[in-house]
Amino acid sequence: MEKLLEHLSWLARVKLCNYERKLLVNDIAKIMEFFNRLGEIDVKDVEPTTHVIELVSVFREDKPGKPLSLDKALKNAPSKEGGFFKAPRIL
Amino acid sequence: MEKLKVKIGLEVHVQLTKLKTKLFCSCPSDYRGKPPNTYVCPVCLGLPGSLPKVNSKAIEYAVMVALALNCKINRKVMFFRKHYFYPDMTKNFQITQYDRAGGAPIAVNGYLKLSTSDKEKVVRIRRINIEEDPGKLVYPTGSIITSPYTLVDYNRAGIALLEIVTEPDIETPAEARLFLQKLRSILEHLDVCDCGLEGAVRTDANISVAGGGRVEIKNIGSIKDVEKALMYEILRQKEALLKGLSIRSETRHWDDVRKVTVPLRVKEEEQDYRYFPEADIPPIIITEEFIEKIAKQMPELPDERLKRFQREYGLPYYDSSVLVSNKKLADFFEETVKLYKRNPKKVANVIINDFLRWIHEKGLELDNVKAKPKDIAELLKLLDNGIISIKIAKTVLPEIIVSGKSPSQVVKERKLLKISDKQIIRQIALKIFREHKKAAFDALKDKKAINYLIGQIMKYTKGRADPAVTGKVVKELLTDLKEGKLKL
Repeated sequence: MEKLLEHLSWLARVKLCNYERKLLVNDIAKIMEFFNRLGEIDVKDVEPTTHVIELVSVFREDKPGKPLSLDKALKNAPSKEGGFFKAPRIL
Repeated sequence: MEKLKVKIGLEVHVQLTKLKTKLFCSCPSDYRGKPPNTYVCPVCLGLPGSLPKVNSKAIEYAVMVALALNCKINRKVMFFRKHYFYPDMTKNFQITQYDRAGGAPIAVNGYLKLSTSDKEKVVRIRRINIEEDPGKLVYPTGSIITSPYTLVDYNRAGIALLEIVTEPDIETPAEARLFLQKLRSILEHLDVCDCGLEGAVRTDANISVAGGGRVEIKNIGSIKDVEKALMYEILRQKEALLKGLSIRSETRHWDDVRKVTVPLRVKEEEQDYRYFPEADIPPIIITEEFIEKIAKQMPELPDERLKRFQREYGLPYYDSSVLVSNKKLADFFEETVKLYKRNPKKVANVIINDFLRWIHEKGLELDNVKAKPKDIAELLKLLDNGIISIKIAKTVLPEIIVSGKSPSQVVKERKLLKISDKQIIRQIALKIFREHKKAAFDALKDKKAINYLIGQIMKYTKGRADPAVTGKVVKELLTDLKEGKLKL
């Protein structure tokens, strides 16, 4: 479970402190147990439900609309520079 | 070293650049050259409460491509969310398609036939996905390694992409190039993608050598570079095998400045993407009538056009195949033939042997060549009418390609009219004979010296002397010289 948690935190790009790790290991164990129980159900002949509403083929015409202004687009950005969103260094 | 078995599969990302808007929102799609983040809206910025809505034209285009690639088109198509944490998508997922967990991409199980010099090769198409393009990351120092932070421009985010995935049927880098060229020509004939635009076609290549691990090379921007990257990888892997190392499965990045592949970040595995159905987008039902309607509207494709060129213009297979390998080139040829109907083969020769060579030599693309079909037709007419020599025609061509001047203008400006007056050529020939006495006497018994003399006349007239008349004059002068009628 420790290993799974480590992997998940890497996927989510979230660093955990020891205290958080202890709490989450327990939570994740519970979640896994729940999903394992779901896994026991035989769904061999059941078609997967991908959508719960019955609408199909909802389309839009290929007609250009007006984009947001730059000010609005960047309004919620925690960090910006020269019209760009600013993000941490990624490797 | 013995020949090692190479298996190559390609994942080609094609932007549907002919769409006016993005895939799920009505932001305009002509984002190239625009200031960052000015072609964005709540949908492509992934703001809460926004609802993606599918561009109907994108589905039409995808069906056209699927038909052209002989694919089976799924009747119920769904979108899925592919999760990963990377700032090129604000939502932390990309809307794409998936062939498991109840999902179905737009098309599967197609093929593309390639003709190489000695055989016909079939490359199977595994599937075609419709998906959204991510945003663009910009590194302030220009390098991913040295930049202290990353800048993101979401103008490209949400642009409609087709991901075309082949089976690993390709065996050489050259075959990969042929595949991509043909695919490009098909996309251009379908008029769904202007493949010459920067970043419009991006390829990931999977390669394994001698059963070693599968190496994926990401994001190669041009057809030429796909071939180069694959050649580089084959060499790298062969060398590793020679040293007794094993090739591990990994993802590498094509560095198009240094022309090498370098290892990339550790990537997620399939289960890490936590694919699940995009509940915001209802399934799309593709009816038989819809497919039939599109099938009826399909334009002429490269294979049919090739056959028509052979039939209609009497061109050999080779000429036809070179011309249709690029839609714009084939169009250029047909436009020229319209203006110079008397000899299509001659038009093909000039375009394939001279025109293309000069474009290549001047580092141009067909798009930025100044010469138009009417100029090529005019050049051929000047030649036919004896106004210029073939040699001059060959010097005029590069000039009209670069300058956009008409051939007759160039001929006039540079005084390139052909000299076919026998008297004038005789005078020039006499002058040359006197300046090259030894050669003139050698020429009485040595054919090489005759060619030398003719060459000197051509040099003196800058190629304007009519070759046939010149040959005749030189022969006459030599006879005179032999019989003592001519003193040098």
